[in-house]
Amino acid sequence: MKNNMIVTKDLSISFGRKKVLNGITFDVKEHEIFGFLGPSGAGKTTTIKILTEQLKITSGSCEVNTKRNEIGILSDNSGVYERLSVYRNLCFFAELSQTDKKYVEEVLKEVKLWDDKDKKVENLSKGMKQRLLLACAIIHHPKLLFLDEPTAALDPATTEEIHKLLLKLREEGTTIFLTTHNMEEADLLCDRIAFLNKGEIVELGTPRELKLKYAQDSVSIIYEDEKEIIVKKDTDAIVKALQKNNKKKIQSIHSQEPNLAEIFLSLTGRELK
Amino acid sequence: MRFYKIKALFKLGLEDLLKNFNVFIYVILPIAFAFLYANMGNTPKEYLFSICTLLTLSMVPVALMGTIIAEEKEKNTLRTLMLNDVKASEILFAKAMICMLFVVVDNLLIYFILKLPMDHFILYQLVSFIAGLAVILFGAFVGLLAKNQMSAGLLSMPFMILFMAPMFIMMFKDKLAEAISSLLPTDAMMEIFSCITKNTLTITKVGFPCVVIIAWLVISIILFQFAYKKVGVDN
Repeated sequence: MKNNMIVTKDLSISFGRKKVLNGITFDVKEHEIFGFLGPSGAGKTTTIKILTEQLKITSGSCEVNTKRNEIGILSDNSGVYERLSVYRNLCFFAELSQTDKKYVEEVLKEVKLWDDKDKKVENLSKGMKQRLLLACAIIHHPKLLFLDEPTAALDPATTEEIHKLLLKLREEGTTIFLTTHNMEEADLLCDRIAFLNKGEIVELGTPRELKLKYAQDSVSIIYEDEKEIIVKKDTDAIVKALQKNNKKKIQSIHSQEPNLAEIFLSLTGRELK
Repeated sequence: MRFYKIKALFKLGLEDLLKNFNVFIYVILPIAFAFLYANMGNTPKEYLFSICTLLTLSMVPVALMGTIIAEEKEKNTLRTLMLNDVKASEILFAKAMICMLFVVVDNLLIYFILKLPMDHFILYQLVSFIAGLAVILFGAFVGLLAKNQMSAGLLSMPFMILFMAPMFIMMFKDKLAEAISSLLPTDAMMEIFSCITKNTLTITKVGFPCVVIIAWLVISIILFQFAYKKVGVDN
């Protein structure tokens, strides 16, 4: 059984009179990608700040079961030294964590920045800079990686590269705490997800579990002529419909499952933007 | 404090500073003044050295230190360092080492530009170094309070004027102003310089200036710790 890397219980925080997180409870298992999903202002970044000891909680408890130097963080306000080169920046972060410099080349190749290693950071595009920030966050092979919207505002090609890298990191044993409002990204990467709305967790589970839980009670049958028939999710009803059109070739039969964005919308009435 | 982190911070900070002319000007200005003063008529060289060292101490440990820390904040690298398991003391030590290196380089160059005799070379350098230590944490304090480099420039201005004050106060010959000025670390440094020049370096003469320098050092440590805690934790 996997151990818990993060455990929170009734976690709350207020800024003045405003309650930003209201008694959230969740755990993150070792070697999983845990998605923390919610619209802007839901409390995702605040949660990361609490877990990385940048903020003090008002009440409740939180536990991160790894050493400080085994944590990597990529947030929207991470910074690197703009006047220096890509290579020099990564060497610096390697030196800070006493990581062998031979990994600098390896990590730069992984984030596809090796060919641009001599470029000054100030001359990098946004996507390249984001990849460098990710490289800085993983250079010391962290056991726990916090990623705060790592692919926000990136082009699809860069996003795909980052997704591949995150899946590889998970395979290598890194636990990843990912915040995003990109539902497709969460569906693709996350082992489990929590929906956060107005400082409260409104649903938690694997993407599959959530889709099945909120699946409609119907099945869609699509024929080769692209005609679609919706029938009740009942064996008799499905057999009856198939018999009725038994001369047509079937293209697909599938239950009608909502995507994560639709589930979130049905739970909160808010869109994930 | 972990030496390998300080070493990494020092190397990178130095490299970054040498590529940042906007900030490096603070290092160059006192040397430029030394060149200017070197050709001034009959003014004693020791006095000119005091003035140039006073400029160095007002600019390098205060304005330079403040600005380089403020830049780390402005560009989010300070927060990144904090999240990379770097302690306040390590950041402070590395930045202070960089600034103190330039204090030493400036004072050495000023000494040679003004062609002072070598008799008291080590004593002059030692006293200016210790006075630099007394004011450097005010620069760090400014840097942590400032939101960006521009506000660091503004915030360091009162400290720069304060530490340069002995230069102007000695012109007025006002007893009260002189008494207040004697409580400043830069005035204390000039007082010790004067004793060195006159060969009157005794405990009774330099005791009070030494206490003043130590007191400023203690105050600056307290102020810096307060500012770091404020920045380190958001609420």
